[in-house]
Amino acid sequence: MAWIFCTLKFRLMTGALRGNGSAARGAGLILAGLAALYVMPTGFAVLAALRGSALAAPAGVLVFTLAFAGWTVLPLMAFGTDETLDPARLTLLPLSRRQLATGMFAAALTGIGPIVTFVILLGVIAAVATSPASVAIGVLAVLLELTLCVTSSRALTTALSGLLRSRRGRDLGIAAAGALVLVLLGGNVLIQRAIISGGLQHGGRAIAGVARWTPPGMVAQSIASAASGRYAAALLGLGVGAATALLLLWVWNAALGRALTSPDASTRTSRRSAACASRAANSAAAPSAVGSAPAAPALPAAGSAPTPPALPAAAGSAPTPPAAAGRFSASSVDAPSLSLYQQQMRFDVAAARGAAAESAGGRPSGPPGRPAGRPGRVRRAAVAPGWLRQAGSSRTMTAAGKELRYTWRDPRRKAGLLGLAIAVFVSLSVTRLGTGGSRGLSSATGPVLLAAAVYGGAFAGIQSANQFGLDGGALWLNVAATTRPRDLRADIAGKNLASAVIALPVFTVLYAVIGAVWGSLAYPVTALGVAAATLGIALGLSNLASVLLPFPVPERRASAFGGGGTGRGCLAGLTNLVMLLIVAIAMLPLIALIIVVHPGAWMLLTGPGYGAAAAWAGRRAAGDIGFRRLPELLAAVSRPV
Amino acid sequence: MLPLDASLPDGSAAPVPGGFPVLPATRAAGPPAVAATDLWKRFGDKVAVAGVRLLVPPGSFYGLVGPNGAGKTTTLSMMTGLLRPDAGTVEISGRDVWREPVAVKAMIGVLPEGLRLFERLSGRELLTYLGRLRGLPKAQISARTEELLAVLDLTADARTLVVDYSTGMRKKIGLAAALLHNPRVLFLDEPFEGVDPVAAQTIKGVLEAYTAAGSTVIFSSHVLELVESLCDWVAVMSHGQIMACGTLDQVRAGRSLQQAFMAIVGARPRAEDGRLTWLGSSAP
Repeated sequence: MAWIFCTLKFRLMTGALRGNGSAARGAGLILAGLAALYVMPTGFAVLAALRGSALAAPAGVLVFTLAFAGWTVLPLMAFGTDETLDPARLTLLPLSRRQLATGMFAAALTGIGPIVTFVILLGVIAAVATSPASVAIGVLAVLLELTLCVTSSRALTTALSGLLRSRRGRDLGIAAAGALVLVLLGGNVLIQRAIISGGLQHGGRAIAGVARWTPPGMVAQSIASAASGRYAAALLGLGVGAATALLLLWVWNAALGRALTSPDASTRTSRRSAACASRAANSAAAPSAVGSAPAAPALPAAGSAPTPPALPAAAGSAPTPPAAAGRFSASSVDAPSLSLYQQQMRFDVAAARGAAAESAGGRPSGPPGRPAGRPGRVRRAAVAPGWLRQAGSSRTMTAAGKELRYTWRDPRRKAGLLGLAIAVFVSLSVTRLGTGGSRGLSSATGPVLLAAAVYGGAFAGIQSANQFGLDGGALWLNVAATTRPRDLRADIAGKNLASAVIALPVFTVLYAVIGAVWGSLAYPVTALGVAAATLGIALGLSNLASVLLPFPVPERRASAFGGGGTGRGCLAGLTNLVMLLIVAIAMLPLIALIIVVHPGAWMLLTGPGYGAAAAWAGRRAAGDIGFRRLPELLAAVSRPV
Repeated sequence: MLPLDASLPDGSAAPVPGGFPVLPATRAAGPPAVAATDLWKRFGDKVAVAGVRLLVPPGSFYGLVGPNGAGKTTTLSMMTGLLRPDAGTVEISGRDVWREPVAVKAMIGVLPEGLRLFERLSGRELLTYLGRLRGLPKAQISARTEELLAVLDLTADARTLVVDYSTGMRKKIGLAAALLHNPRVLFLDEPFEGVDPVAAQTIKGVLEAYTAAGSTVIFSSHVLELVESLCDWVAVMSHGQIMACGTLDQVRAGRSLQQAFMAIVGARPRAEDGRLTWLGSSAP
């Protein structure tokens, strides 16, 4: 059974290199392969070179711990997990839990990442093992460590996805993420203290001394134990590792089983979205609303096929009505969101109709932006502030409002938000490096804070690097109502605005806290300006990337952290790296200005201004390019993966 | 297993609004193909399925009809082990779906809504892998795969990736995947939605051959004419409940199925009365 899963996964990976869009995925796969061919021998050689040195055993412990930590945390932050083999497509098969678990585990091991990890871990054997027995223990340890890495990443992403989906889980998910951030921060601070107080070599040893008591560390240490003849200790280490792996496998399997037999999250996340859906239906059906909008059909959400409702009035003027949109939207838009979005679109249509009616001397329609009918009964969405909804008649605001709602409701976007939170807190903890532990401010502190701000702002911005991919097939709703480049520019502006509305308060609080702790505001205030500037630049670049390199991000039942599929991950990662580089270059003039003028409150205006200009320019270009490529854009993001 | 002895004196079943369906003792040899007892499913505030009871006699071609949102898909999902019911049990040929999922999944074929397939396999690869995952012998897999592809007019596209299939081809390859292991009971959710007449004819032919051999088909549809022409048993769902069920003639009671459906579900007054006055006013 495991072998069938392996070959199935392999077939799916090679299948990604055929058919439409295979060139990009192929390029991604080749790049990933080349990177692997470079990293594998290098990593192995560096470790093997430590053979005989007193550092070999601690280095082994560090490598095992780092690999485990990387596999656990990185998918949450950036790259996601490899969901090429989507278990939701296996639910109809007569497979027992054990078979499914074995098979999914085997499939998870089939891929470039696990192979690279495996080869590098073999380097630890080369560095530490001395006797044939210790080599044998070493092989066991490496296999066990690989198991730990894979099961840990899968267990965490699957379990967190489940939490992100369920209603009560939101709070739990946030709590779990908070705990994770605290653990990361603690680890980070510990590592920095150790390195600062003892230098790289001694610090490394000190960290290894702690890390060797973690499960991956104990597994690594078992090789050294076996090499020095302490076989009981070696077996104990392996035993702890095996027990941990079994526990993780159990968690993964349980979370998977739950994900596959509970309602598809996105259709039915919460009481609130249900209320919103019915509200949308209500207001659309209310007489005064009917005068201004095509009624959004009430789609009761019994998990029945959300049949796409009739196109909104503006559809008649769509440049290219997508032929296959029905299928795509049925599979990727859930009923409440659809009704809701129809309501959102209505604001535009309502405004247009109102204007038309007035100019024709007809009856003006109800105030746009406010659900007509029974205002007393309408509860405002908690996410969009009142002023935003008041201003909701503009397309930009409509798009922003929809994006904010989606951020809260779409597990994939929440997963992205979680990544942003982790990244921001990691960047925050990096700033401790400059402070030299608790020894107060040093000369390096401020610049390090600014560098972290560059990173934090850019990371928040490049979350939008595939902004239409998250819309998926539902993008047809926008395409059908887009008649001129201005419309698309407004949509993009709305998405950017939503990103800023989320990120800027986070940064403000962050730097206010840092300022309060430091008792000095000059650098934190400057850092806030820098973060705003990089956010804007990264958003501008993301806008361009979104129309030039769009790819579908399928909604998957098992994991909200799945990426774009084979080959896409590497390409997306590369795009992100290039964007980070451009952000850094674009920041040079501002950094130079800071050095000349000295940090201060002036950055509070200059930074956001610079960023806004960059975002505006990117939006402008992306709107014009994207409008010409609208059909291709829609086709690219709505392809099933 | 559920009692089957509650038939009327004349041996036929009566359509019982919201009640327990009654089977004629004559046809039902062995346990019912599907026996659902008091199925409940609630999503947030909304009760999607409220106490569904349904007996499907073996060998029947059973149509499940109802308006949008009646709970058809939810019911089918719970019957096939895809969605865990809040309450109630489902037995397929006497075996509990949620207690023996592996055994039941080996007995049933499902063409679900949404049709998630491995998009980046070719049609032939998809069938081959599903056969291997189901543990069928290799020779049987390849023989059945070729035969199914041929019957469903997919041989020419056997090497095309599923991602590049049209809607009708997706339905057909989904049907092939559901039939590959020769299931006893076949569940189809809107099998004809978005399918052109030629493909629909092909699918119909395969289904008729399948039930003629004594297997059971349960399918949901909005297309009442289709249900009328294909099914010998019908259940009408509305608001999460079975409003009526029985043989086609019992449910129709002398009317067309369309008329019976409207009477059972309760047709709403025409929605546009006094409203939508603006609609159509843009015509020159």
